[in-house]
Amino acid sequence: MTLLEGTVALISGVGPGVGRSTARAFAREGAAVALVARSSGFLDEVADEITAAGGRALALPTDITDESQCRAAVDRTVSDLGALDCLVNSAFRPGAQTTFLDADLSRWRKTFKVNVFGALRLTRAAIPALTQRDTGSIVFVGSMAMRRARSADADYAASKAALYTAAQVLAKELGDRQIRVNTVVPGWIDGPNVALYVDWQSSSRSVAPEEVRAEIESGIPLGRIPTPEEIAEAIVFFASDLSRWVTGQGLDANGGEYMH
Amino acid sequence: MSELEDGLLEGRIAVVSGVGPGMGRDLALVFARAGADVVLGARRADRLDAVASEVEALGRRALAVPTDITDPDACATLVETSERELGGVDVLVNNAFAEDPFVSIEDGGVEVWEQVFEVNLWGTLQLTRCAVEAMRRRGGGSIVMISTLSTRVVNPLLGGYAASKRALMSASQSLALELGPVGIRVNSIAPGHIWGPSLEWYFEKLAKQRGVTPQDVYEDIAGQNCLGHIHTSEDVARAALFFASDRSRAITGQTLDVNAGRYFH
Repeated sequence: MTLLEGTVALISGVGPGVGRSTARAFAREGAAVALVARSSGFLDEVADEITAAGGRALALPTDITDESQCRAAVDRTVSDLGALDCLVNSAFRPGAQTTFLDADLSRWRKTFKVNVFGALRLTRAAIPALTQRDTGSIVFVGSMAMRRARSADADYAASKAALYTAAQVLAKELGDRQIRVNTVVPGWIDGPNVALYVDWQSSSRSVAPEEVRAEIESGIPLGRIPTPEEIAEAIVFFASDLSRWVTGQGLDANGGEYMH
Repeated sequence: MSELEDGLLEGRIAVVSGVGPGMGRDLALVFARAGADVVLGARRADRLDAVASEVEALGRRALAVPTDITDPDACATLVETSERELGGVDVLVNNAFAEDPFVSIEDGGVEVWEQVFEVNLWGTLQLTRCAVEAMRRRGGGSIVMISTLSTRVVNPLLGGYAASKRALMSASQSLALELGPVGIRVNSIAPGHIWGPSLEWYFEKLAKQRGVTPQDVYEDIAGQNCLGHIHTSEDVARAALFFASDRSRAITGQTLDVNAGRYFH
């Protein structure tokens, strides 16, 4: 598999979900990967796994809300891996999960601090290195929260919607450098968050967990909850030259739950 | 660049409609390079044969089946031939289309739109229905509709074309809902301007009208794209390859705009 052969990618938000799956998928396709998250333990694990499989990986503990740390991460990527062709912004902070009337707006700011301004700080730090190459790709990870409004989700949903719009503006601004900017918008992603939701619904409504899960699946035409690996494939697509002339777009990877 | 497609459709059988010298040919060649055997449908046998030879030169099997998609029997024959000769249908790309005759509804009448819909909607749905039956027998598949930027940006005198493609987009979403449970995915690609002989001809015409060079026209129109470039149908075919392949196995009912940043959806 060679979709990303000879490229270098920096991936933020490398935790046990989409971030790790993206790192693995990029390495499988031949990319060298720089892995960013706040704490080092899990990063090292993923980097070791990729290296053991014959890939190139670099663990770079980074707080993306700190501009100098963002610059340091990009500098290390370029000095150790030789260049930067692709940035994947998958780092996020969950929302406060409070209704607007109950909201502490300073907590909402924290959601934006990571999801919008953190992602944009890392992106700004990456642009000079991306510009050095003939082409570059920036991929943001959106959320079903911005497609389908739910109660008590405004900070998270609005942060992802803001980022989606920012991505389109960046597509305009960076197009003449041949840097493409796109967003993958996942729906449900199988993993701990689905399990939490299922447990919560199961206990609050006194129904079996299997029933709650079946409800979610019945709303998805493909009949199952997409996995982090499947979300990662859409990110690989936007990083690769298969999407060489696609910019400013969003692609919903949600099993058909809603259609954009 | 050809290694890009490496293995993405290994062992798959793809039916492509509207195979002539442009997008249809590129879809066939990109898919063949990705490992697929391809079944080529279009009205003109000579064009099909030419593309079939190119596919075979890549080491894949190709079937040329002259097909008018507005003829239900021809659609059935196309799919039956694929099943009989190659063993089934895994991928269908609906690329056949009728261009708008560039006339307003006031001047041309409803009949003009009806003719466009006959191919772009009814013919496409007819072929799709035949392919779905074959895909069900294979336990799943992927259908890709080639849509258009005209569904996003309204142009004068292209109403019938745009409306037929919008109708198809909506129908595709219904199909995605209906066919998801049997493992058949339905997605659309909406290309913007595509560089090739017909756009070249159009730019020369515009250049004469404007009293400038064709290069001036190119720069003006390409300059409206973020990436400052007008890509080819081969580039569009590569994006369609993603939807055709299992890499997009969690994606259905969606439309991807491939337009070098001309318009954001």
